[in-house]
Amino acid sequence: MSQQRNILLVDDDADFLTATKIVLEKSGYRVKTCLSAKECIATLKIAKPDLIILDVMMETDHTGFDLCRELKRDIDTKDIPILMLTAVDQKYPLNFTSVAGDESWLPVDAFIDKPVEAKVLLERIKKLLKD
Amino acid sequence: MVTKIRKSQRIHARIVVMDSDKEAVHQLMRLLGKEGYKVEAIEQINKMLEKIKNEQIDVLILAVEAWDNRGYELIPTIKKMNRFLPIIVTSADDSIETATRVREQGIFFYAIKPLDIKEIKLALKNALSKKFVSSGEALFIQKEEIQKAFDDEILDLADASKILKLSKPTVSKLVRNGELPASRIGNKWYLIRNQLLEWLRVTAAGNQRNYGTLILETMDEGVAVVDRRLKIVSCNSAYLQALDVPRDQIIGEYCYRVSHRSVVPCDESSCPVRQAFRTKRPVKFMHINYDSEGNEHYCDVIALPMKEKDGKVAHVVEIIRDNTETYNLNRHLNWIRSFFAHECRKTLGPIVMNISALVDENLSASISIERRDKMLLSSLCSLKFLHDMIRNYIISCKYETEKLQCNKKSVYVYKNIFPQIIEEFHPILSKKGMDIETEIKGERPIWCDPDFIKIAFSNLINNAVKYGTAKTKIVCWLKMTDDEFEFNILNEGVGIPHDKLYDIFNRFTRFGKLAISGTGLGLHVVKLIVEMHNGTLKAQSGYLIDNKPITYDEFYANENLYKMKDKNLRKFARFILKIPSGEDTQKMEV
Repeated sequence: MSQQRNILLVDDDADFLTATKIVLEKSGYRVKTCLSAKECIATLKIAKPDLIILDVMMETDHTGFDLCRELKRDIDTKDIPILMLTAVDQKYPLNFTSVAGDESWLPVDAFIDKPVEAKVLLERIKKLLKD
Repeated sequence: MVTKIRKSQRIHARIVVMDSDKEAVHQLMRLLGKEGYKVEAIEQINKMLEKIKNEQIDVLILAVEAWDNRGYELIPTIKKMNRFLPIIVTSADDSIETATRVREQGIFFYAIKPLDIKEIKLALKNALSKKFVSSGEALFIQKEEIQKAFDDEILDLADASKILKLSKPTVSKLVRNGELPASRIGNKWYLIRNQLLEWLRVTAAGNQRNYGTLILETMDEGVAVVDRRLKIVSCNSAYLQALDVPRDQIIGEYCYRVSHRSVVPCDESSCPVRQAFRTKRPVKFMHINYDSEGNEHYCDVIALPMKEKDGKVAHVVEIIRDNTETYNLNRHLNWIRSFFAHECRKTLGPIVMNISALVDENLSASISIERRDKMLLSSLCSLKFLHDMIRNYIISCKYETEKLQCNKKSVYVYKNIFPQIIEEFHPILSKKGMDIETEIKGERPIWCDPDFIKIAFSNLINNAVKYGTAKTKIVCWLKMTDDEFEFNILNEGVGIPHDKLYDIFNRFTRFGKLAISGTGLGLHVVKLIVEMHNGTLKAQSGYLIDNKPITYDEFYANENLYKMKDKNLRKFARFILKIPSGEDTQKMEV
């Protein structure tokens, strides 16, 4: 990897953040973690990552959805790819993987179900970062 | 002729009319006033809502035309303030769209202007009787009025003999033998009209050779026969029960008035009866009906056309199957399933991430031994949470189906159960930098189910760890006397909101951050276990002031303490579990 890429991990589950941070750092990424949407927005004002990994259910059931729409509307953040990672699909009668990328509904670049294995997550990140 | 109302005849029900059409209000007040009703007209919304909030209205007559023709938009707000208030909606608009829109709000009766005063009177009478019965305020109506209201319904033996077309001695014999429902007051027997009619109908059905009627009576579904004018010509008891209306108010009445409380027939596209008349074929619909309290009823409505010899359909048999209970149960089960699945997947997230990283050769090689230990510890903690979540779910389900058995034994709780649980929690406690301080008073065995008590301890400690602040102490106190065993657990942390102290033991109750995974079943299961042991469980919360727990009640009652409310005070949660010690202490120790 010529240049170390930055990833912003947003999830309200501290255990998941810790576990994923180790995996990503050991794979050569520089990782910042946020426990809430508010923290994520504040972090993005300081530095722009190359990728955002976002959970759906945080403060509310749809915080992740709202946040990704907000980020895609913002001129400063709209080009940052978003990988949505969540355990929520069982709660909705929708196939998120197929609606991911729909600008008007779920403007994320990819979607993965939790729990996810380290290898699968890393492959998906590589694809999104086009490394 | 103007009927003068004597003071004693005035009906003390508080009726409020709200309509922008002043002429209509005046007319309604005049006509209802003649009938003895005291009616007040209100124009301001705030004033009306204030009265509803303070329960100063018994029936509200609200016009669609009120509030700039948006009167019906007020209904949800009114329902939120007082869901039992009967609302009669009036409208100058006779369109089906308006009728449907208003009806769906769960009103008591819908009437089209110009108003038929007889119809309004009947609606008022029904609304008031329902309100007073449901709210336990029957005494509100003066005794004289109660007597007046029931005068037509109470019959003596002579009246009953006319209705039954039986001689008075025969009726008297039936009454004395207890075959006819009647009450004796002094020397005379009295019967209630509706009870008598119901007895007549059931007896007639039992005696007759018309097996069709007999079969209808045995059905749980409500069945009504409707003619081409959409009037009900016959119905079974289940139909009457479902609508909670006496038989004499149904027969000959339009079906939409009875089932939808509307004066406008339903649109054919949503009415199986009208479709069955037109198509001459059976029609089945899923219908959502609203009762007078605005509750949704999910009904299967089947309309079967009855063809005459000439092939024309003169009647339609309407069968109503109320599936609300099944529908709600299914919806609830789906919700539980998806909620539980989500919590499991969320808890599995860090486990799968950690373990998959540790088994990956490339990744694992770059992770230090110390870090690996932490990853394994984190996975172990998540697995314990997952295990407890599944166990609580199973116990809760078993309790629902009454399959839980409590096998009580004499147990030294403080030395044979409690230390094991603390040991189990060691990894979780060390991960969060927490510690448990224990104080034990008494050395007596307790008569309990050791497995269940273990689960109760485990859930309470789990709760204290989850919602406790990292690097703080959890204080446990076990006290055993000859009367009772008390377990007291206190932790510093997010505390329990004041308004949740009583809800906290309900199933699926969660509060605070969603980040703390769980199904909201742990404390519910503790409560079930305590109930099985005839004990009590109490939650307390408040602030830690100088390291001393002060409950919300103590805090708010003390002026000096209350001054500190805006300071960032530390919070605590405490659970107090008490069960009887039991008398049989001679049995073998477990």
